[in-house]
Amino acid sequence: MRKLRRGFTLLELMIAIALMLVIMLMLRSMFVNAQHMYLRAAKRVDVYSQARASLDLIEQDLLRMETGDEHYHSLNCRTLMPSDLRNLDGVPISKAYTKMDDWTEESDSQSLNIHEFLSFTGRNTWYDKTQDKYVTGNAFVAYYIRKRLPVEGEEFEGGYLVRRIIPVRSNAEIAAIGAGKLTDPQPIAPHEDELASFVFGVRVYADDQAAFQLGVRNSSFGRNIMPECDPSSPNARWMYIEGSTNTPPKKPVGGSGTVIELQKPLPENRVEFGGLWSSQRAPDRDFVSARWNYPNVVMVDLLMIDRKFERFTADAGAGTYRSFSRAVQLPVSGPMYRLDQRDIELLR
Amino acid sequence: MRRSTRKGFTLTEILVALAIFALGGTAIMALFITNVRLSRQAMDYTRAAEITRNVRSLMTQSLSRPINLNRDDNIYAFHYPGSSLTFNPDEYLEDIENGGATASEPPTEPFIGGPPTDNTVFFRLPKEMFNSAAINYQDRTGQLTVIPRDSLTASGSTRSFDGPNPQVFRLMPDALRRAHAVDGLDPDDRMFYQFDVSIRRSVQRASVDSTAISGSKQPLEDLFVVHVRVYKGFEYGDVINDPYFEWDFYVNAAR
Repeated sequence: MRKLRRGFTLLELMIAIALMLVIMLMLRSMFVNAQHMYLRAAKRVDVYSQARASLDLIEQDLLRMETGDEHYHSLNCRTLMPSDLRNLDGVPISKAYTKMDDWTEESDSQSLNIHEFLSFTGRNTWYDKTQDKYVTGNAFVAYYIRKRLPVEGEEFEGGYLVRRIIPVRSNAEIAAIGAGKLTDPQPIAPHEDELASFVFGVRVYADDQAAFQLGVRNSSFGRNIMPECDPSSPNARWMYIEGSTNTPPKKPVGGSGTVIELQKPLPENRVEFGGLWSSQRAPDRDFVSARWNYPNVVMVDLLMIDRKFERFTADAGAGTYRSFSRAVQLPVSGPMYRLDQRDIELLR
Repeated sequence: MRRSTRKGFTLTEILVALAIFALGGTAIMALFITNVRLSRQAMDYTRAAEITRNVRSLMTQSLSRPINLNRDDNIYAFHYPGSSLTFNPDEYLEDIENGGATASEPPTEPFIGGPPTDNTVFFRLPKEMFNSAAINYQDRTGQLTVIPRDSLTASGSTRSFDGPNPQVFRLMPDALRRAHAVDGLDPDDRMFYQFDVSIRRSVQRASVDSTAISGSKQPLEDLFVVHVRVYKGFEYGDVINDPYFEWDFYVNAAR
């Protein structure tokens, strides 16, 4: 008997293949979407981890900040936006570094020419290549953005976030050098770490006790108590400018610039804990928060992009980017308190 | 006559096959959807952790600096950089879609949320003991200070706003968003997030109040509980907005 084994017809096969094709296309789009999601997530994780590591380090360094009344005890904050990174020559070099030449090496020209957004002196640990070991000591810590090398035909693509450690000579060492006992001191060698690869901009805010106390004293809080450290921003108009209170502050040029009269003893019997009561003037007030006016909180806002960020214009683009902010509460500026009757009697 | 041996699938067979396929497909789709949801949730929690952590630093700083109006009458100032009381994300997005702002012509400052001085709020600390059984967040009582809802002026009077009273601080878009760096809308874009802060006296106990009938303990005098609620897509009007993240911390206020 003849077996009636019969296969599919061409039409059936074609219909089946077409159906399978439709299903495969649907599956493909699903997998492509999943792949995009995975890649996007991977980029995000990259951006997240770099930002978190950077902000953690900034926070820990700030918490170890050293206070005092020397020039290098100042805390320097400044906002750096993409326009600044494209034109770094137009950004004033840190005032702090110009005052550091008595304890940095003359050959360390790079330290003297970086444009940091945050710098201060603090206790730190770093790897000393010459001694081949980790060293703990006081150091000037500077966070800055290093411009990426330009790629021909491409727009500027963010920069590296770099932490630069410049060791400070100990007082004993300085005394020994001064006394001629130490004629051949170890040269100071800065150390650097690149913390993040693609930073598009950094905004720094620092709360200001002078602005706050001016507000208390004048019963007016027209000035921002948590201003952005950007002298070109209208936000910085909290500053008291001698002779003119309504115009934007001038950028400091050379040794002279904006002058602010810092707080005096307040008629409300309120003082800043640990503060000085005398009237002080600081010529570089827009960048330098001096001893009697350390901020209580510094807020750093990082704008990160991923390496595939595509540019449309000089300031705009498309791709993965995200902003991260961290408000760091510093221990160096204590609370204000009301003098009690006994304090007032003692002060009379 | 030769009997036809061509036999297709029955309707039942096709339906069963389709049902099995649909079940499998649905399960796979559900996996993807869950993946997307969890991924967004993780982004939301990351953003919420960032906001609450910052609020903690800023609020601790704020409560360490009383502004003494009169004896025993202090107010405190609070400002979260990059937040606004009046920013409207819908209007902002509409403006972007209409090509309103460009990199060379950024939106005017009032449009993107107003100057920082307008977004600085002043507030008083609650004087009454917190009673969780008797309080409603919507009520204005001496037990709870909610900012920005209970905002004051720098002289301590109730602050009035041009538009509706702000119920939350809204985060403003970052520089790239403002400069038209639009590649779709990232679900964790800053402008989608809002928060408010409520402050109550701590119920941490110090010593037994022997004069109280109930024998309850006294609260620690200057200790306050700060409660941060983070929202996504907060809506005004008669809408119940549930925070997706809440967090408490203690602050010792200077007075």
